[in-house]
Amino acid sequence: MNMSKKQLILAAVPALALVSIFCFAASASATDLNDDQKGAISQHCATTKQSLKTLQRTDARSRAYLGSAYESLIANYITPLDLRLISSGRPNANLTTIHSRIIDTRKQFISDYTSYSQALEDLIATDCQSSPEEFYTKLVNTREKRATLSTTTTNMRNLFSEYLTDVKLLRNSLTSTDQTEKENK
Amino acid sequence: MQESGLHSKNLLILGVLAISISLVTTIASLVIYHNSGDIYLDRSRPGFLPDEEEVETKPESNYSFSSTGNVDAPVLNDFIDHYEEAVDVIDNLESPFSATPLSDESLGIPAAEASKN
Repeated sequence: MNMSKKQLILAAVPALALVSIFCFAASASATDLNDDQKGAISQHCATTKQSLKTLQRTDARSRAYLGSAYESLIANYITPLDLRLISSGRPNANLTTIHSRIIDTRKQFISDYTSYSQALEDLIATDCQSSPEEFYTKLVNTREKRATLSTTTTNMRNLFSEYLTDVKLLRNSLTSTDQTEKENK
Repeated sequence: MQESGLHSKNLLILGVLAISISLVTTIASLVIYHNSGDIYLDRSRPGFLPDEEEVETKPESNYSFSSTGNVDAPVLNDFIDHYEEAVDVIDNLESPFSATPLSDESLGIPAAEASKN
């Protein structure tokens, strides 16, 4: 038994080393550019910067649009329904849990957007004409932050759907309760 | 004569002090504004003001579900109808923050394999 443990440890060490080397190589290749790519970045620098500035404005617009939609759903629908359920003596644990997850995800959305905007501004400020490699490294970082932000918006949308599903379940249970009460009368 | 000279000197010190304090507080508030990330959420800064078309299409609804009263099936049906409309507003914005605008292709950067050939 002891031998097998030693063998496992001995086998794990080179395996870990190989995985580390592979990860390092993969991360390096993500930002390693060939001459053609460097040339293209330098050549299209002005156009790229203009596109990024337009994207920055479009994103600010999307953030404001989504922010008001989230705010409206929370303030005009979810919070009043939760309060009404509690005051009418029918608190629903599932709906309350989804409500708090929505609040957390909304905070996450603001934090992810801020982090992404900082990365995008840093990317726009980078001189792509003289430092294409630095620009590309920052571009990869901005893409990652944008992907995180996109995932958060998807999570938020799924939570709103989850909330609706649970409200429908509650409605169905109330409908069947009402029918039973009528039949008993 | 000496007294008026002293007064003007004190006035000068007061002026310099007031300007220095206002400069320090302005710089500090701008640093906080930037570092807290509020600058990225502020749409009143130049270049980020909402345009007329955007103001018209802003998601707005006058409906608000009442937080008082009974909860029964008809009440929840009404809630569901309005809620679905409000959620549709989110779906009006197609693929927000998609990967496409930052892709190599969109930015005119050739693919690694293609450019090697």
